[in-house]
Amino acid sequence: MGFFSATIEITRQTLRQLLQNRMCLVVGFALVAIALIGYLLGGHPPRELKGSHLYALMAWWLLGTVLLPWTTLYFGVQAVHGDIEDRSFQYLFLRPVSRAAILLGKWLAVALLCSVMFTVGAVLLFFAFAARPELWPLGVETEMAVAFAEAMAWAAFAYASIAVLFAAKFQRPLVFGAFFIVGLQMFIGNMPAQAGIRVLTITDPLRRLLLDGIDPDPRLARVLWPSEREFKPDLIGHPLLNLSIIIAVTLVLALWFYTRSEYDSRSRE
Amino acid sequence: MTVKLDNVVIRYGAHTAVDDVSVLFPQGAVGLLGRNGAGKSSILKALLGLVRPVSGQMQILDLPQHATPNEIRARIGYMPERDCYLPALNGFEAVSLLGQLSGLPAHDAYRRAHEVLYLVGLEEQRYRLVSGYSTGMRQKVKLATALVHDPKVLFLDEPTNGLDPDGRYEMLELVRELCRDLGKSVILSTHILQDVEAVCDSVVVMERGRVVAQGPLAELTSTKDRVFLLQVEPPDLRLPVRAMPDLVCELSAEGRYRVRAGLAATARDVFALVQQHGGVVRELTLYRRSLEEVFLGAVQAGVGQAGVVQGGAAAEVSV
Repeated sequence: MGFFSATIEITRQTLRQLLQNRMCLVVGFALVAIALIGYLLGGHPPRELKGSHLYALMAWWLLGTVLLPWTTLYFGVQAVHGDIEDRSFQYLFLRPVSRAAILLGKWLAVALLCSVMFTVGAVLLFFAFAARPELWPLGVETEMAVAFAEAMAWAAFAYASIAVLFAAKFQRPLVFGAFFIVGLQMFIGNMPAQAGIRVLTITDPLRRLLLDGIDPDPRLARVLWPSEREFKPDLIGHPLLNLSIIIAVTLVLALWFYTRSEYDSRSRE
Repeated sequence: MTVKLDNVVIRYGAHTAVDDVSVLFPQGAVGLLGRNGAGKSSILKALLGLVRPVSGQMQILDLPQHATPNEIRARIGYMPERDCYLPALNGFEAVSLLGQLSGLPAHDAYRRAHEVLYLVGLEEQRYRLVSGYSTGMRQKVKLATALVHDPKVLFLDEPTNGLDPDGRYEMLELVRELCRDLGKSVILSTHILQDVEAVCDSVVVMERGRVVAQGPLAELTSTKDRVFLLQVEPPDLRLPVRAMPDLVCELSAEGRYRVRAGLAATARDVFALVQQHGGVVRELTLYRRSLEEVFLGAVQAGVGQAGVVQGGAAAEVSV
């Protein structure tokens, strides 16, 4: 079996395995519940926030900052580290297939699943607010749904690569994942634009990608980037390039560890 | 020659698991014996490419292990010791997936999956989720996944682990069939000596990371002198210790005689001896050492010294 077909086959099998995971159902319910809460909140908007503000607030902070990173990390760790924990990786490693194809297949499955789930989730939430025309005095801004859907898809691919890196390298990947999400994403990722360390996060380029896509008013910009009091368009830079670099670097590192690690060695146990 | 190791050293940190081992595994069924921690699993893992030796060379079917891992993987099958399985798949899907990953076209992989599941006796349960299988069925599906791509060499790590007597018998019968009827070479790693006696033609015994005995089972269990186990009628018949120059009779605690026969003596002489003393032979069998005796002897001899018990001219071991 060639590299490409092995990758596709592993993707197919991993997707199937993940879809049978109970967490998939839990996240599905959570996305529907968030949309429902959004609809109810739209009936009584706090502080006279517009529909675009409410949508950005919930989509970014609930989906983009909390639910998506944790879900993708969990699925990524399940897909890669689950095999290592229960030793079923031996079945795959002993086939004449490159380990790189196996890891890429798993990464692709996690990224595709999470991007579809959260893109749908973001669109669902948008419809929940769009169903209340009184929240949109200038008309429903559909470009927001497009921008958030795009951001969710990119975020899923980026977090999936972080997840497979941690799963391939560490014996306790979820602990490192928690440190990454809470320490790097939530703390460093929300620092002002001058803090160069932000480039180590996925939050930062994602936020800039969103701001680039939605042409925000100052209040909406502050919803997405509270530490930046005066948002200027020249802060946006090249978010897609930054995200691509993060994905490429983490994937290369993950492949390096996955292809070279002796998961069966006693010292690892 | 199926598998060859030359001066292989495997270390886990400061611990040396396999210490400069050179050994040849001939064709047929070979038992890899040793106590827990003797280094047999480490050798298997190194041969499978899951662990890299610090030094030494390994060859499988004349292919160097390190240089041609994919070619080797296409020719070997592995049945792991631990109870692990690919999640969310039924027996047929698991086996056919691994067949495809081994390079079989999808159609051939499906056909082979049906064949091997039939061979191992899982044809009725092949569409059930593997996670719902009993221990015996899981062992069988592990064997089926090892066989799906028709490998020449099979590495079986404790194949009877957790099986009840019936399941154990079935599994050993299957392994025997694989060697006898399908011409597979099997390396059976286990610490259950009866399994090796039931299936294997030769053994490699390991202790503390070294090979302490190896050779054909028949030669390892044979004794230098011929020793007969003799039971006589009447049971209280007493034979002299050295009745003939080449026959030494020792009465054992169970009331049977161990008759050590020299080069000139035959079984006929034993019959004559008993008859001379007014008795009849009730049972006369040629005594062979049990594998357990061979194993314990080799392990004790191997502890603290670099020695190898060799079982035959074909055995080529230096430690």
